[in-house]
This record gives sequence, structure tokens and C-alpha cells, in this order.
Amino acid sequence: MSAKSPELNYTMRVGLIPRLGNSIPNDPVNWAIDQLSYNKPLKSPAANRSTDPVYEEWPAHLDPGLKERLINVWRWDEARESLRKQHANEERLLRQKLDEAQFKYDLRWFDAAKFNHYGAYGEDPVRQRLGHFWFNHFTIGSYDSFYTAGDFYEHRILKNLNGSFADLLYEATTHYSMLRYLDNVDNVSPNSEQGRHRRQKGKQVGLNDNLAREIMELHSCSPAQGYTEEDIHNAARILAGWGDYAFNPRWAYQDWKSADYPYIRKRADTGTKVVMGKKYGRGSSALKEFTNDLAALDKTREYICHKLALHFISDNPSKKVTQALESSWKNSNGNLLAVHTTLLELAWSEGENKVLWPSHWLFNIVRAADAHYFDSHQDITSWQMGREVVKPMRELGNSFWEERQPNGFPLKSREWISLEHLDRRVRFAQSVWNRAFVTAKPEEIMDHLQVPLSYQSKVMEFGQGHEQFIALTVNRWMMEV
Amino acid sequence: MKRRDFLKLSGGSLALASVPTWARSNNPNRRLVVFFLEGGLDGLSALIPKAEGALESHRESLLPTSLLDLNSHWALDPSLRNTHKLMLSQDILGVHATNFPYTKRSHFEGQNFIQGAGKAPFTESTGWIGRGLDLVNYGGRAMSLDTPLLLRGTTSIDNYYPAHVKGAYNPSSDLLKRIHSGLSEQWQTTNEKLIARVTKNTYQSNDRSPNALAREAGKALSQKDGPIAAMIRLGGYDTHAGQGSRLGSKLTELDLCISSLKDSLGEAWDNTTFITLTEFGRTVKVNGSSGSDHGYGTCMFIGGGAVNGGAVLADWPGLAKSDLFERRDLMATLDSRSLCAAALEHTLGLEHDEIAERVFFEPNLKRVTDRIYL
Repeated sequence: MSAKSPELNYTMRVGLIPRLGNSIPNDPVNWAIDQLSYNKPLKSPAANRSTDPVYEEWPAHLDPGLKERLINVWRWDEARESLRKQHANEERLLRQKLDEAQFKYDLRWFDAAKFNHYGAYGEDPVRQRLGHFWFNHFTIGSYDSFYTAGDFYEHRILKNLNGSFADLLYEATTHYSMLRYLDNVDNVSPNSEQGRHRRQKGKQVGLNDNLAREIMELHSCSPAQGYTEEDIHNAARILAGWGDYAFNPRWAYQDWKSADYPYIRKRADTGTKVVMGKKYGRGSSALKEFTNDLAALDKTREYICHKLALHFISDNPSKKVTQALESSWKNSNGNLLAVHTTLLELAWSEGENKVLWPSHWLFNIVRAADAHYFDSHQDITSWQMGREVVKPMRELGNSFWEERQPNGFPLKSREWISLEHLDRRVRFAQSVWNRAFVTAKPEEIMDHLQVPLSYQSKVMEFGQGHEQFIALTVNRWMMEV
Repeated sequence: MKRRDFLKLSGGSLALASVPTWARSNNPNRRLVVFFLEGGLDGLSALIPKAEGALESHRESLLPTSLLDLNSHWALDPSLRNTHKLMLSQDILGVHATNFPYTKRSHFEGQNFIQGAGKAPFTESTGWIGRGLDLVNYGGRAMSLDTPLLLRGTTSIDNYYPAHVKGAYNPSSDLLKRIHSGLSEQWQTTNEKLIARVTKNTYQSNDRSPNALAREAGKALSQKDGPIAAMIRLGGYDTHAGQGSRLGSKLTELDLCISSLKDSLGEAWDNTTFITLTEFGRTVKVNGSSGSDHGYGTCMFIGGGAVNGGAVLADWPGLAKSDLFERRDLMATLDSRSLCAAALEHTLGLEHDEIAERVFFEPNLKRVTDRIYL
């Protein structure tokens, strides 16, 4: 098979293939850079049960804001408790009632569906790919963190892609999903008002350093910084008081700064903290000061630039690439718009062989065939139906809506090559062909992808449609850049 | 509790000396299974030094209300019922106060280091089992979608993880052969393995719970031409909060896996070794949310018909504050690499020195094989 066009290859490296019917950009670098300032709402099919769907904006009530979502977490807690009492001896009925109640209060499946639709239909695939990178960098992944995961992606990740890394770090750290996932909701200083009170009552109380550790190890400077256990301990003291389990409107803590930035003073540490030689005082402002300081470290710049290069450019990024990213970071004071622009320029000239994440491969084959594979909001009519939404990406080992470890998905190609991964590609190509209302003929898809005629005739030798589609999508062209 | 070594469960006396030297063999039927406990197992909660006075003051709220006694010094968490039986029947050896020489308490560095076993995290692109398999040119199997670092080498490794994809059937070998030329070299190697599997039609169950994977691993390993090593991942050991019930259910899962593995291996159990690995232990003191934070020393279980079980192997460091690593974690007094090397020596029939040098890059690695095998 001969090489695919550099323009198409580039769209796959930094973005996703334009949907069938849209042309491959002639000036792909500017096509990519223009998307950094894309700000139109997503338009996609409201239901996925038609060959000719109506494209609509994603409904506003499915993005109600963090406060409303947190009140719903509390409402769901209340409902669960009362249903368990009410139907204590009726296991099957209880399960059904619980599913109904959770469906009312928990938007996780709608969030996951929207994420899939961004991938399948978004006109900003480069922005989405950067969003995926940062959503993965700031991994959330416990059951409870998914109550608000859609809000986290939309309003903390996508919204902050063009600002400073310092702001992104602070915004990601202070969101409920992160505070919950890395146990900071349990991080109470022993010298705080609540800490003293609980101790007097003989109850367990103390710091939980999970988020404090990961904010340094995974989110900013990495262990290369050489911080100590004492630094982590003191970072945990800075973070004590950030987060709560839910927002109970009846007796919300009066000292909550806001639902968006849940800081509870009576759990916070009252002393001075020293992290890596720098002193931090009491109060909620210490965290912003701390995340700003982390963002300004040389090791943070090196670590993040290396990760960006690993994901988008090469499994072994050259010095030229990392230095260019780092100098862009330095010159712009860690401004992500500048760093991302440099990345998109470098990706044109410096890109080396990479295996695409399976989620990106699936988005690409769906887009290339103008297929309608992913459930939309109108398809999710029950909690059970909702569960189906995350299954494809789970099956590919690449679901952002699954429990996983805080270091996120691996960035190196090798991690994604295995017998089972290949088996899944073949199955999903078949599944898309069989289930996704593909009306396009293989020839049209191949023209769109600029497949050379010599290979086109090879594909056509595969007898049935789904086999032709497998031949067309499970190959080095579509799986690698 | 005093410092002690190799404590037999039966008597509680020291039983260090005069274990017969292992007679080297190249028995091709030997097998190795790794249960990788992701997140950092709290060794003090799984294999409990119950006679240790400091235990209550450090972590009373983490102690289970009932224990499965092993002897006057050691007990197991009540979730480990099958493990308990197998320890009493001398099929499983407990090892305590052990870890790889990695003290920085990062999951990801730790997991990488324990699998790669190089001089530092992220220095190796192959794993210690992969390098061992390379020396004898045998294959292994990952019971997961991906291929973990631990098994990677140049030798053939395949995977087993049943698919659940709607609207798709098992690919035929004919189809896979026909797409072969369109794949890049790195995928072609993989496709050859997939074709081989499809041809053999070895995909049997679509259950992919850890328990089912352990059962399938046992089945595959018990076949004459089956893989000789397998790895099964069990997640969820990072118990920062509400440790009691969470860890209990994780240990129940591990316990079932061990018992399923034994059952499905049948007679091959006598030729199989399993080991548990985890990236680190956890803090000795309970944290503020009834959990524990990242630590250092932990416990390991090594089992199988040939294992000299029914004992706890430990150079016990004690739990007084001055005995702890950095005054917070259980000290690791036994390098886990020695235990892994022993498992490789037994399974692959290689000399310890060769394993120490070519697999662990540590020529001075202590040999403990005679303490582990009958």
C-alpha cells in the first residue's frame, strides 16, 4: 500500500478525518490552528436511529452547571436511602426503582454520549483531540467522579485550552470530579475546627494525601522534581478543606466559597505550610498560589512538553521538538494557545510513526463512512440504555467514562498493540458496518480517503460489504499516522 | 514480636537451616502465574502480624473484627478463606516485609519498576518475565486486552480477554489472512498470533471477571503446548478511604482467583507457581479517612504444589516507630526480586546467577530458591 496523502495523515495525527462529504483540507496546519479558537456549540443527531438524522444542538438542560449537578448528587443520595428502606425485601423492585431514581439525577451517560458525538460529528476535531489529551492528563476515574465528569470536560478542560497552564491546573484541581476521585473530599486537617471536634468525639480524622501527591507527580512537575514526603504532606495541608461529597441545599456549609469552588474553611489547616522551600499561609488563596508555583517550575514545562510530543508527534520525540515546545512555553509564560500552536506546526514537519488510540480510530472510521454509530441523548431513555453508551470505548480499552488509574491511558504506540486489540479493530469495523446505518459505498469512502486505485481494487476483491469495510479500515493507513 | 525468620506455622519455631538444595531440572511442564495487585496492597491487612503490640495503636480501625489464625503470630484477613486452607495444607507460603527496592511511593513508577525490573523506573522496554522467557524461548499469555510490560520480551506473548462487541462475529482466519498485507509489520506479528488462535478455536468463555480469567489461565497453562507464564491484573488496592470493606472485597476476589486457578490447573498445580505482586505497601498508621496511604514494605503470597508452603517467610523488622521506613512505613527487609528470581529458576530451570545477571541485572541478587521450594 502506498503512503496516504500528507494532508490526510496530518488531520489524523492532530485531529480526526473530516466526515464523508467534507473535503480533506488543502492547508491542514491552518485548518488545525483555526480550530483552537472554535467556539460553536456541538450539532449532532438527536437520535441515532436513522440513515438521515436531524442535526440539533445538544440540549442545554443536559449541561445544567456544577451546582445543579451537585444538588442532584445529594438528591440521589437521599432517594437511594429512602428507597432502600421502602423496598428492603423486594430486591428486584428495589433495583428497578434505584435505576429510575439515578436516571433522574445522574447525567453520566448523557455526558459520555456527548463526548462520543464530539468525536463523531464535531467540526473541531483538533480541539477535541487536545481536549482528550488534557482530559487524560487530568484523569478522573472513580464511579463517584463521573457524576460531574461532563461538566469537568466541558467547563474545566475545553474551556481552558487557550489560557495558561497555571489556570488549567487550578481549574482541574478544584473541580468536584477531581476532588472526589483523588479523595480530597476526605482530606481534613487535624488542627481544623472540624478536625478538633471530631477528635474530641473520638472519631477518625486526618489528612489524605492522594490528590496532593498526584498533583505533583502526574499533573505538574513529576517525580523528576525531587520533592520529599514532607512536601507532599504539606501540599495535603494546603489542599485540606477543598471538596465535599455533595451540595445539600438545606444545610450547605456556610463557608463554601461556591459550588464551583467548594472550599470548607472549618476543615482547612490553620498553620503555615512549606512546600519545596516556599511558605504558604492559611485560607483558600494558598491553593492558587501553590498551583501557580507548580506551573512555573522548569520540570513542569519539561514534563508536559514531553507528554504533548509523545502523544502527537513521536514515541521518541527529538530534542528539536521538545526544545521548540519548551521555548514556546517559556516565551509565552506557559500559555497553552501558544504551546498548542507550536505543537500543530511541528506535527506537520516532524511527525513520526504513531499508532492511534483505538477511540480515535473508531471516530475516524465512523466519520470517514458518514456513519451514525453512537447513541444520542434521545436514545438514552433509561439507566439501562445509558449503560450501553460507554460499551464501545470500554471494549476498545479507551473509555474516558470507566474506572481507571490516575496516570490515564498510555501515550506510547506499543501499549496499544496486542492480539486482542487487533481482534477488536476487526470486530468494530464489522459492527460499524452492520449497525451504523452506513449508506456510503466502499468506493466513495475510498475516494474520500484518497486510497490509491491499486489498493481500491484489492479492497473490492473482498466479497461482502462488511469485509470490504474491514479491509478498508483495519490497515496501516487507518490505524497509524 | 521479636525479629524472626522463616516461621513454620505448625510449631512457630525457627526453621531456617537444612532445607535441601534444589535439584535443578528442566521440567518443561512448569508454569508461572502472576497476580498483579494494582494500587498497592496493604500487606499488614492481608497477612496480619497479630502478635505485634503496636498494631492496635497504629491502626485499630483497619483491623478486621475476626481473623483466620495461622499460628500465634500470624493471621489472615477473613476474606482469604481458600488461601487460609491452602496455607494450612502447606501449598502457599506467605512472605512479609518485602518489596522491590523502590521507595518513592508512586503507583506508576512503582508498577513500571516492578515489571521492568531495571535499575530505575521507565528504563526497560521489556519485563522480567519476558526476559526470562526469552532465555528459554517459551511463550506467555497476558489475561488482558493489552500486553503488560512484565511479559514483554522478544518471545511470543499472546493475550486472552473475551470480546463483547455487538454486531460482530468472530473473525475468520481467511479474513485475517487477507487483511495481512495491509497491516504494518508491528501489527502483522500480532495478526499471525490472532490467526493461530482463530485456527485453534480456543476462545471458549465470554466471562472476563478476574475469577474467570484465572480459570482460563489455569486451563491454558495445564495444556502441554500451552503458555508457560501468565499474568492477571486485579485493580482497586489503592485504599485511601474506607479501607475495611473495600479491601475485604478485593481480597475475596483474589482468594477466589487462587482457588479457581488451582481447580482449573488440576494436576498441573503441582508444577505451577503463582506469586502476587504489588507496587508498594501502605502506611502503618491509619489515615484521616479510615484508609491508608502509599507506603513501602508489604506482603506477598507464593503458592503451588511444589512450594514449601505453610509458613511465613520474614525477617520481621517490627512496627515501633524507629523500626519503620522513614518512620511511617513497614520496612522491606527482603528484596522481592530474589523471590521472583526463585520462581523463574524453578519454572524455567535456569541457574540463579544467569537470572540475576541477565534478567534482573543484579549479579549480587541473593538466592532464596531453597527456602521457597520443597
